[in-house]
Amino acid sequence: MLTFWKVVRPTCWMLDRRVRAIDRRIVIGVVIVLGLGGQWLYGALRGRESLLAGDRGDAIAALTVVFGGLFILLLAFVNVSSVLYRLYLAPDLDLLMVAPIPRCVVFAVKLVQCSPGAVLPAIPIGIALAWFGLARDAGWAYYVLLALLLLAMVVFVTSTVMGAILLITRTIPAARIRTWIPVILALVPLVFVFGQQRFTAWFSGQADLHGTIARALVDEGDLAWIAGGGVALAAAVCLAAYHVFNRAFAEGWNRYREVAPVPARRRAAPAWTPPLPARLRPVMAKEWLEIRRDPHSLLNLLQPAILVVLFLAPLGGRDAVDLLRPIFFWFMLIFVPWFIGVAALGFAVTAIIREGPNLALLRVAPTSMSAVLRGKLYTTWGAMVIPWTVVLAATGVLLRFAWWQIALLLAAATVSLASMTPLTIGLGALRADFTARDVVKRIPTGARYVMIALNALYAGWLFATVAWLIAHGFRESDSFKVIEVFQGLPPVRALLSDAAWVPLLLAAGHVLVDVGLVRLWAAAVRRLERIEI
Amino acid sequence: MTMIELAGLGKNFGALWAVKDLDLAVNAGELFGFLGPNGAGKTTTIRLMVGLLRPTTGTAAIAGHDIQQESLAARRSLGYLAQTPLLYDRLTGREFLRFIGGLYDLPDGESDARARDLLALMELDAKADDLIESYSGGMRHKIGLCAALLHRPPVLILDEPLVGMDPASSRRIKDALLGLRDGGTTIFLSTHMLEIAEQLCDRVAILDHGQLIAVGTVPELRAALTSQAGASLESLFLQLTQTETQD
Repeated sequence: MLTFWKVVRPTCWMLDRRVRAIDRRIVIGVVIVLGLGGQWLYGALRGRESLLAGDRGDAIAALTVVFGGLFILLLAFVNVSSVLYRLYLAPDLDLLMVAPIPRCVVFAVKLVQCSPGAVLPAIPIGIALAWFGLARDAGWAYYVLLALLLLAMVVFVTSTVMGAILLITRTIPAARIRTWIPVILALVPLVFVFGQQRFTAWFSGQADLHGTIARALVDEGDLAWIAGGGVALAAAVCLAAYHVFNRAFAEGWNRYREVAPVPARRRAAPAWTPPLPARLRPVMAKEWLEIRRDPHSLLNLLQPAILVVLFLAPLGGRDAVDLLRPIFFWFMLIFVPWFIGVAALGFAVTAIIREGPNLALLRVAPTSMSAVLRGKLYTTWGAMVIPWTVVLAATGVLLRFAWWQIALLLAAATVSLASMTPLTIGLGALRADFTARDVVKRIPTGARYVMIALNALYAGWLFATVAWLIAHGFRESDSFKVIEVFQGLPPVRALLSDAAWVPLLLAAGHVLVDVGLVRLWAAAVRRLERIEI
Repeated sequence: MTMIELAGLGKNFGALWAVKDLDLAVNAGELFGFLGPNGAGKTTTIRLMVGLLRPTTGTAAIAGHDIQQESLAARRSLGYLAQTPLLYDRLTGREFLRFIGGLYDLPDGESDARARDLLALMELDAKADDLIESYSGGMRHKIGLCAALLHRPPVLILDEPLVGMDPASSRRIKDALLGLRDGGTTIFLSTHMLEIAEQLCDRVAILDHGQLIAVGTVPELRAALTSQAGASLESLFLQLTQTETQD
């Protein structure tokens, strides 16, 4: 235990230093907000226990337990790249493997480091079940056992993922793992999403089972057995993972780190090269090669197809499509700009932070940072706009949307990308710490939240603009009837009105965004030209 | 002709002056050694020279162009190899050199031809189509050096270019540097390896605590500091830097 603490201690020091480096006023503000938020949440839940009464409450509690567990497992698998990194590439491994530390301590340290992916989803599940306890007047033992059960879930899930990765790394060639395992495991959510549909349909109808689970939760004796069983199961899986770690880790570690040379496929020089400006061509070619060889970037490009498959798969027959077509259109119009912004956040920001200390190479070369940023912008925008427009056009045709609906969807996607890509690249360039060793830490969390907020705001504005166009250009369409349903809401009423200030306001918003982007871009170029690295 | 000129160059980080009042001139076709103990400010000086840091005081000029005021012209004239080579792991060696050629406005055909020669010189031709992520430390230095040489700059600034090289590669690079020097290239070489400086450099400068404490040829330093005729650069270096530390 003491050795474990000695190994973990530097992380606590670093965390402590980071917290101390934050402005005191911000820390106090966060504490106050969390305190007030917690109090508000408690009050809100305390006053609504009736929602969890009777069969409905049983069903909610049972669904929370079962799907909560699945959700934790799903997120742990989604987080597999991070686990892979922690297990095999983290900079502390060289020290841990060489130092005279028992293997069980190294395993325990890695278990803790790999667990955040499972801990974070456990928090809302814990809150939901605590609310259930409040509603059923559970005693203190309920909360203690609940905490124990959630802890067991976290350990079980983390150990399972670690064990799976340890086995895979021991058996599959390292080069192949580094290239494809993150992609394959990132596709696991799809399997979960489709796999759970039948189970959900079956489980939702099992009122008796819900009652049994709910009763077991509030009965302290039963819950003690469940928690005990959970702890025993977690301990068994953890021990099994430790056994695999003991047997397979050292070999896998060597293999994973010492990747054999990977010859890139040689291609004949293309007969035609796109007429790109000479200044941008080297950066664009480099960016494209990096995207093509980065599984995460490729996965980002696959997102539109994944999203549409997820969207279309549950539709069933043609009748349902005919009935729901106007709603689908609006649904897509709301989510496409927003989701595109999120995708740009992942994709375009990567183009900046991937550069890291190599920015020095570009700074020393006789090329302008404006050309570098523009090269990144055009490559990322081009790489994203093609799959999005193809997938959206195909979806529109498949759902038999009118031509103007497809055109509006494509325009919304293109405009959204044309705004969010420069925004994320510009903000990324303005805020990135190019010297940080860890790629993820090169962009401050605050900047990410600003990007998310601006994206949501812009997606809303773009949606309002398209809604206004439909309300004034396609009044005879089914889509218009859908907005009319919401005309009681003031913003919708304004969009439907013929007031001249509405289009002016919408246009002014877009002009403001464009002006903001131009200024942001100039500031980003200025920073890159002057940054000291 | 002076190809590198530092005048009153200084850089502080808060209260710490990493480099202070540095005056230095390196002539065309000179192989100049830049020496100093760890933390002396060698890398900071180099980063000031190539424009990655802005000086607090003074100026740095490359081929007559101020690196801050006429940045583009100065950057066209220099080739730079960082202590940790700056490379893109997901490109192959050949692709990386083509990228660098593009940044320096070399036509693809010419860039590829020069890359072929440099890769052969560094014995990297067999690995040229492997991803850089699979290169060893020495190979990474070699490909970094190829990138610095690709556009045939009149001024080469190299920060520890021989780190991690095997003896054969080290010998080949030393010969290449001497060949470049003879061809008129100005080479500014920062190194810890005193025997390399002694073998290769026309003149050396010794930096300690951010300040220049000696400049000259090895015989000049020897004459100034000791009566021993055969004193090595190492003993001169230790004498100079330890005296500084005691002061």
